[in-house]
Amino acid sequence: MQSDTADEAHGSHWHGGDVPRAHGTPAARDGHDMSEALQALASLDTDRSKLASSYDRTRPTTVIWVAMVYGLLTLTYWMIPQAYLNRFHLPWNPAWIVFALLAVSVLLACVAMTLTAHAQGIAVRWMPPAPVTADRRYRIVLAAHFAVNFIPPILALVVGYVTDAWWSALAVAAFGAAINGLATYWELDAMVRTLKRRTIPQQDTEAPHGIG
Amino acid sequence: MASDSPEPVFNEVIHAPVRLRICGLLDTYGTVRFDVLRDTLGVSDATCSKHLKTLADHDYIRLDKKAGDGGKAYKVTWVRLTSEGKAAFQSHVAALRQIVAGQAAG
Repeated sequence: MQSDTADEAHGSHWHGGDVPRAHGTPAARDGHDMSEALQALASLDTDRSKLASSYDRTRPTTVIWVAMVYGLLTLTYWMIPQAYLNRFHLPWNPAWIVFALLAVSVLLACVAMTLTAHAQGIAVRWMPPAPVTADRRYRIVLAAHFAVNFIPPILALVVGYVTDAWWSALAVAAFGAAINGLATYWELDAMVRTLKRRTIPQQDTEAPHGIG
Repeated sequence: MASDSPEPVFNEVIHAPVRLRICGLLDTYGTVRFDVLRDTLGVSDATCSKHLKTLADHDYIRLDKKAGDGGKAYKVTWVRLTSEGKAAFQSHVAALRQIVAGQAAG
């Protein structure tokens, strides 16, 4: 949709140097300034909210990517005791399996970040947008994710030490994927909520009639 | 580096609607692709380019042209705020908030 007006094209809609300020009484001018300032701040809220929908749109694929990466990482932890005890009786050093799994996980994470950034049109960044990091709800979700993040690796190490059954590998990988996928879903939910939140009150469009 | 509580300074260059909105998006989302910026603002290629050029001339933004997908001939432009632009934008927003708060208090 092309909504650019001639004023906007010249970039001098409100206080531009070639456009005089509002005339009238000081009170009326001050009211005009406030209206302009509110309008400007509201436009920032609207744009931020509009672009936040790209996070919302890519949420399912992001969650799937994260689940895959963490599932593979949990499998890597399960593999550590197997490699240490050389349970598969491999002719070569079994630590290579661990390194290979780790490398694939990192590669998958890089591919996921690149594809997500490409889909969103926003470059990869390590920290979420500033309003999000300042949000209490997001920080709580992040802290919870950090805490539960340790459960799948510990569980995988213990299970991997106890058994080398294939289903145990599958179970811990699925557990790691589910825990982190769910936590990522909540993180993205908190992020989108924060980015869509208005920072200024909506302007009252109703004209005061002064009757009653 | 932009501080947490910037000094309110009204900036005529940034205050133009499209430029203010460009700076707002870049301040929040970091580096954004040109087409995403244009579509979010709902303006034409020419209008978006013109305002980006004005901001770039004042060293408020930086334009990076990178090769398209699969090494195609066209270049994709990525836009980001410079530290100077970030500071100017945050000071301008502080000035806008001051105007609103001043009026509300009055």
